[in-house]
Amino acid sequence: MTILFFVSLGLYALAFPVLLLSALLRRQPLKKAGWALFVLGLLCHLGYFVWRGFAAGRMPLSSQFEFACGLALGLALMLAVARTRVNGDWIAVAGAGATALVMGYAALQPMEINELMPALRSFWFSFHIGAAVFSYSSFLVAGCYALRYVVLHRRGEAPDSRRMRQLEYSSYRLVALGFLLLTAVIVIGAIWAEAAWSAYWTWDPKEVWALITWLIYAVYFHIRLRGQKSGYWLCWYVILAIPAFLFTFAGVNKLIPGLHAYA
Amino acid sequence: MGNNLQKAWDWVRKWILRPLLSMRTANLLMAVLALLCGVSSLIPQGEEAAFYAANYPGKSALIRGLYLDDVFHSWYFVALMGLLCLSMLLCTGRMLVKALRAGKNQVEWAAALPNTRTLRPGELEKLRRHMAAIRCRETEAGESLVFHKNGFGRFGSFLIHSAILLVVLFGIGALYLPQVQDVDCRVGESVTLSDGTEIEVLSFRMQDESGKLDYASEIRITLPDGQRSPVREIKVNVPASFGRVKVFQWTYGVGGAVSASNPVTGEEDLFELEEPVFLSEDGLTGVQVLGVYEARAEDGQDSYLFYQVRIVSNGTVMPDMQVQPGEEIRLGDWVFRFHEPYYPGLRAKIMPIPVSNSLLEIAMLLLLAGLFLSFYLQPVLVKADAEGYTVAGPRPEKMRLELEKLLAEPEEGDKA
Repeated sequence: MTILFFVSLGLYALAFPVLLLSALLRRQPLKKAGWALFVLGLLCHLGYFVWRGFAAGRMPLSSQFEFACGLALGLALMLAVARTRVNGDWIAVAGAGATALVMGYAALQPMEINELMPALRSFWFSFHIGAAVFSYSSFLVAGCYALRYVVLHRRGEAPDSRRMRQLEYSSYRLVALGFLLLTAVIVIGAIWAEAAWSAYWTWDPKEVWALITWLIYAVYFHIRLRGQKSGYWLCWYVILAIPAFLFTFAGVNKLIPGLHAYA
Repeated sequence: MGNNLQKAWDWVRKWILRPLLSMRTANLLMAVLALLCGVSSLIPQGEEAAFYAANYPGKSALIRGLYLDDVFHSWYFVALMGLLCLSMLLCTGRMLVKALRAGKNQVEWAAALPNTRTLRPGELEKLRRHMAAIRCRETEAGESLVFHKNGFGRFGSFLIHSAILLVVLFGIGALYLPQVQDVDCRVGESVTLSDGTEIEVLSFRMQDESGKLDYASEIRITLPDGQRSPVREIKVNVPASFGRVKVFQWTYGVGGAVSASNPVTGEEDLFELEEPVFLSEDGLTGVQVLGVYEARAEDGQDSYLFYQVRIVSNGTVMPDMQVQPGEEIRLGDWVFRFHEPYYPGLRAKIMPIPVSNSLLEIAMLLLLAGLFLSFYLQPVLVKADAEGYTVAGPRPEKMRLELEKLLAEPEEGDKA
C-alpha cells in the first residue's frame, strides 16, 4: 500500500506545474486537469492515511514521516474546502506546490510503522497532534492567500477592492483558525504533559517553539486590530511567519534535542 | 499639595499607564519574549558551568553572565513577563469597561450612525431577508432598522486576556508550589514522603492487557492523618491522586537487586542495581552484573525478566549468561542471590492546594472559549434605512464583505 503514498506524491507534483501553467496561460481545460490531478492525489493520500492508521492500530501521526504526511493531507483538505469559498487559481498553485513539498519532505523520512512508546499511548495523542496538523495547515493556506494578495498588490490592484479585502480577510480567518488550534495544541499538550511528566510546562524546545509561534501570531492579531497597517503589510507578515511554525514542526526535531525527539 | 498630586498623577498616566495600555508596548514585549525564547533554544539550558566551558570555549563567561544558560529564570525574562502581565491586566480592565459600555444602548447608538453605503430600491427588503436568514434580531429605532446578534461576542477579548492572566497565575503556582519527590520502592515495600505520606507498592508489571510494553504499578497511599486510599493502578500516562498527593509512574525501567553473603564469615550485603556493577571482594574474582532485561517466552506472548551476568575468575572473563530471579551463584566463599527485579521510580507531587491543577485547566479552557468567542461569534450590528446602511461593531469586516457581495453587482475579479 506504500505505493499509494508515492502515487499521491506524484499526482500532487504533477498537479502543481499543470495548475501553474493554467494560471499563466488562463486556460480553463488545463485548470480542470490540474485540479483533477490534485483531487486524485488527495483521494490516494486519504486512502494511504486510512490504511496506515489501520495497519498501525492508531492515528498515524507519531513520527516525522507520519506527521508530514498528515500535514500534507490537512493542507490538501483545507485547500479543497477553501476552493469552495474563494476560487483562486494562484491560491491553488501555491497550495499544490506546498502540498507536494511537504509530501516530498515526508518521503525523505523513515517510513516504517513503529509501535507507540508507553508515554505516547494516551487519550490525548490524536487530539494533540491532530490539532497541530490542522493548525499548521491553516497557517500554510493563510500564507497562500496572503501570497496572492501580495502578487495582486504588486500588479497594481487597489487595496480597497472587494477582492483584495476578501483575500486579506480570508487570510486572517485562516490564521485565526490556526491560532485557535495552536492554542488547543498547547493546552492539550500541557494537560497531557502533567499526566505523563508531572509538569504542565517544562520549557522543552518543542514547547518553547510552539510558544514562539503563538507569540508571533498574537502580535499579528494585535497589529491587525490596531488597524494602522495596510493589508499588504499584514499579508507579508503572514508569509514571513511561515518559517516559525515550519521550524516548530521539523527544525526543532532535527536540530534541538528534547522531550519531543521521537515526534 | 493638590497641585503636586495632580502632577504626580499626570506623570504616572503619561509615563506608566499610557505605555502599559498601549498595544504597541504589548507587541514589543511579546516580540522580545519570543526572541529570548528563540535564543534559549540555541543554547542548552540549565547545564553545569563545566558544560558551557567545554562546549563554548571563550564564550562561557558571557553566556553565564547574561544568564543565557537559564533564560527562563533570568531576572530580565521574569521582568518582561511581569510587565506583559501588568499591561494585560490594565488592558483587560479597560476591555471590560468598553464591553460593558458597548452593551448599553447599542441599538440607539447604531441607529444614530450615518449610512456608509446606499441602498437601491428593493434592496432594503433583500437585506432584511438576509439578516433574518442569519438569525439577526431586528429592532426598530425611529426611521431606522437595527439588526444585531452575538452581543456577548464583545466579551471575547476580555475573556482571552483574563484567561491568559489566570493561566500565568495558576501556571506559576502549578510549576513552583508543589513539592516533588522522586522515590524508589520495591514491590511489597513502602516509602514515606517528607510530609509523612506513605506509598505502598503492591505490584509492578511491564505489559498492558494486550501484551504491549507498559509500566504499571498497584499502589496504596496513606496520608499523614491515617486516611488510606483504595488500591490504585498507576501507569505512564495515568497518575493517581489522593488528598494532596499525586503519584506518577516515573522511571520507565527496572532495577535489580543482588545480595552477596559469605556463610563462613557471616557477612551479607544487598546491592540495588540500576547500572552495571562488578561485585568482587578482591577485584579479580566476582560477578559482573550487566543489567536486567526483558525477554519473550517461547510462546511469543509472555515475557520474563532476567539478569545478564558475567563471571570473572582470577581475572578471566567467562561468557555472558542469563540468571533468573531467585537463582544463586556460588563463587568461592561467596553466594550471590538474585532477587526479583523491581521498579525503582515513582514521582510524588504534594500539592499545597488540591484544586490548583483544576483551576489551571479551567483557565486554559476559558482561553479556548475566549478565542472561539472572539473569532467565531463576533457581534453583528447593522443599521439600515430606506436610503442606505452601515455596518458597526468591533469587527465589522465579515458582515461588511457579506453585505457588499449580497447587494452589489458582481465585481470583476470576485474570483481571486
